[in-house]
Amino acid sequence: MPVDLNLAHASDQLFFVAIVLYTLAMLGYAAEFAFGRPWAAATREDAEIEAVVARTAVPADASELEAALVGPRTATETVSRPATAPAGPVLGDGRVVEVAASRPARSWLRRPVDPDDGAGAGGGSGALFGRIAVALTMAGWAVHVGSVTTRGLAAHRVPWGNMYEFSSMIALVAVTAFLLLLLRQPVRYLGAFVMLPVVCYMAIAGTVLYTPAGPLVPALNSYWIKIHVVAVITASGLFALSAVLTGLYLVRSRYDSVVARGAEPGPVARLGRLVPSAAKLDTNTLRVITFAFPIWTFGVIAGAIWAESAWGRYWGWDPKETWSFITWVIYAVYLHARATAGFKGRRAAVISLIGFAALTFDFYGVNLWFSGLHSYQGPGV
Amino acid sequence: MSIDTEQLSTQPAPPPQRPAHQRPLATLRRGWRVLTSMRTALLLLTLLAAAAIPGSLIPQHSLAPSAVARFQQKHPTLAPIYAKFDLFDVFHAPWFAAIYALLFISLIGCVIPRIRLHVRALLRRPPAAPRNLARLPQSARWETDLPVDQVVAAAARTLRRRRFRVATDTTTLAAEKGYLRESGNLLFHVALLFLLVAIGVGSMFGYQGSKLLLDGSTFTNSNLLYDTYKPGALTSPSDLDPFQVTLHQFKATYQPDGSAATFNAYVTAKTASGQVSTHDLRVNHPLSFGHTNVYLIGHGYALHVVLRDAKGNIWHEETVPCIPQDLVNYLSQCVVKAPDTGAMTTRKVSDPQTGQTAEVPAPLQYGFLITFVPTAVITNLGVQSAFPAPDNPRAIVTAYTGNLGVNSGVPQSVYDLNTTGMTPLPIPLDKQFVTPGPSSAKIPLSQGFTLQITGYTQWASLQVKDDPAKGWALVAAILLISGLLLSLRVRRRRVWLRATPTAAGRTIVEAGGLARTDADDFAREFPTLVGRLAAEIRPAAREDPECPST
Repeated sequence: MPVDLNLAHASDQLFFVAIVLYTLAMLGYAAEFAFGRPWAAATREDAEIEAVVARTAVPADASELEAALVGPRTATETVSRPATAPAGPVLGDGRVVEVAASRPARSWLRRPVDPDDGAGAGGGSGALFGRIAVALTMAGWAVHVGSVTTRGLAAHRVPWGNMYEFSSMIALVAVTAFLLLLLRQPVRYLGAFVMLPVVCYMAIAGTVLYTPAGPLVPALNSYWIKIHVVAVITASGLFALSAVLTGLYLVRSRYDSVVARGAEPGPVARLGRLVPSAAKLDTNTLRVITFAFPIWTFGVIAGAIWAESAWGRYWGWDPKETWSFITWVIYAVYLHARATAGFKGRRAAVISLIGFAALTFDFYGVNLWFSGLHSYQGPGV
Repeated sequence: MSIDTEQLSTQPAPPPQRPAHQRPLATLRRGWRVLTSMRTALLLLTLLAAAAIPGSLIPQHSLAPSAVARFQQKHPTLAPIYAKFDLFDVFHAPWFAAIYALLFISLIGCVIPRIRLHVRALLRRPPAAPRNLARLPQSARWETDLPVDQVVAAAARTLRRRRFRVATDTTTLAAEKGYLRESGNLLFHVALLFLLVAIGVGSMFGYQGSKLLLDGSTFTNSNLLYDTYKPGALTSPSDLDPFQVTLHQFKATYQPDGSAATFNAYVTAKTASGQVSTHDLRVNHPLSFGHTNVYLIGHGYALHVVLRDAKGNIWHEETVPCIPQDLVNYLSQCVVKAPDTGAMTTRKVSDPQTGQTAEVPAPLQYGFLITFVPTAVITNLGVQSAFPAPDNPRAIVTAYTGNLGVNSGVPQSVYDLNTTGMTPLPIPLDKQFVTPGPSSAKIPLSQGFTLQITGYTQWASLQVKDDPAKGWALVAAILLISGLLLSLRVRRRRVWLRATPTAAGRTIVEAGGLARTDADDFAREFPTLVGRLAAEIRPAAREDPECPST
């Protein structure tokens, strides 16, 4: 079937609109930092526990204990209890657990759209910018989905057959992961740092790597393109997100050590004020990598199965295979390092960044510099 | 970075000095401990990643032998050094094998004791509660009206419902959950070993061969009939399943821009037991004979040439496959060797002793280099191909006479013409350029001989690959992923509960929790769990909404 040129053209225009919206969103997130109260950010990290636990000091006597238990929703019920009624369990750090029966169900759907909750950057006009930025990100995401969909419809195939389409998909996964994370956790602070690489990535994809819509070469014409490439794109988008988190972790821990010395943080380290604690960033990096690693493993194995049916061997140390193996090994080192006491913090962060560098090289370096079995017509995947 | 490495080491403290006769054993033991430590494993993993890098940067024999040859020509000083360190064959180099062998020994040394410990943990009750639960990272304390035994029983019910493994005695409860994490972890590592074994067995007992098949020709699977044949170290020729493949027609279609759209090889397959079936062999769709697969990996053109003498007798007739020089538009090069023409000529021979040259009679031999152009266009650079399909096919012939060297005993490739002992035959330019076909113009050679290119056809190259262990490799890969998912997604944690009666007839409940992995998640889970426990341990009446206040 011939390429539908109208749809292909629409896809290109939507791609451009998505870049513009993402750029505006990025500026919005930046404005939130500029006009908000960034220093509030660091103090808001435990927000997500609050739905379950009411923070309080250990009450001195029963009536105070009772008072501590009183939340707006359960006030009447709790107050009507006799003074000797059993209190909720007191945790080791002094917080009192609201007993399950009266606990409101946690609504993860409601949390996200409540931008003040998700802000991390205080209130005021800053929060307004942040909210606008989230709306722009969502609009950009929708347009981006439209661009990818029309591309697939125009070429009558999955929209990830060459490097341009591949980069667009990775950016889409990164934005999707960010928006999903925003639904569940107050991570709006991440906005600017996610949108910046996404915009750069898409700009490079739309200029240097751009390939007009067309059919797949025979070697790519297999249902494995849906399995192998989707897994690899998903894992890559997530690894990209983990690299952003790692970068922020390094900035924040630099900021912390400078402040601990009593010195004035430099221009880069000052960014550390805008983001949550180093420990939290570190944990989130680990979580994202832990999530992405099995997907990457699956992608590599699916690739091996595909290679077996396309080229007659499941593993042949083709440059692409070699670099995905290197990437896999480095992230395996990261996970082992985290499991071992000696490699937390900065050292682990460096390993995670090396892993991402290997991944980036796997996609771009291998295609641009080497000729291997993965070099299809034009810049392939 | 000021981290006390001594304290962070995962190795146990060194053993005390032993008597002299025990020392070699002690050294061995120490070496083993070092090898199986996590630190060494990390180092070896890093080394493995680093060692793979040159394999992608330097051309490899196994992937691109011609690139290796080019590299050796271009870097005459560097290439021997590279060759010495096996850098042209990194993935089969002894030092590469040494790294992964050490890694896997380290892995075995680490996994076996862990399997033992894990099996023991699986058979054992969850460990008893520590004396002071408040000292644990997670703890809680509350009072209830229920008597001690009911508290313990209710808590055990709640935790069992949440799939904790629970052990109770009269006043305390110990519970643990997430054993699958370690099971998954061990499964992953064992599967990795299993995968390596499957890869090794596959390459030792398998083979790989390639064969170029002209339209209409048949191939029987035998090690003697391959163009290239690479057996494993322990493969014997009798392992080859003697199936037959006949190529009826190869068909390629192209996009308007010249990129490939479809490749189809219409073949008939005949198994060793004589079953015949027809297939459409395509890229991504191999033909299977048990664990042996046949793949379509390439294609090209072939020319049909006829050499006649002055009387019109045919001395040489052949369909010669042409090797594509340009993989986009398929400008291809064909070599024709005609060693037997029935005619004689003279050849200059120099006597090595006297240095004199003399003309001696020699058989007339022809060698031809023919360039086949599927879609010929004339450009500034000469004749080029503009499209891979044969839309305007032309052949350009260069002829040589002299000694082909085919009887010299030195093996030579049918795709190469060694022109050193030969002299080019002058052919007028307009006669060199022909359109292949039955009525194609005859190209005049010497002594009345003519060459006619009577047509062209296509060939397909097939790769036959036998990997008897690939099914096992797949099983290993599936186990590996399953183990990985379990070991990364399951969280292991322990919960303890102690019930103590008070003088007032109530019961103090103390709970403690310890996450063995991802303490952050557990810090979120524990309060929820405690809330649940508190709710379930309360007397039933309290939860009755009809009488909330008594």
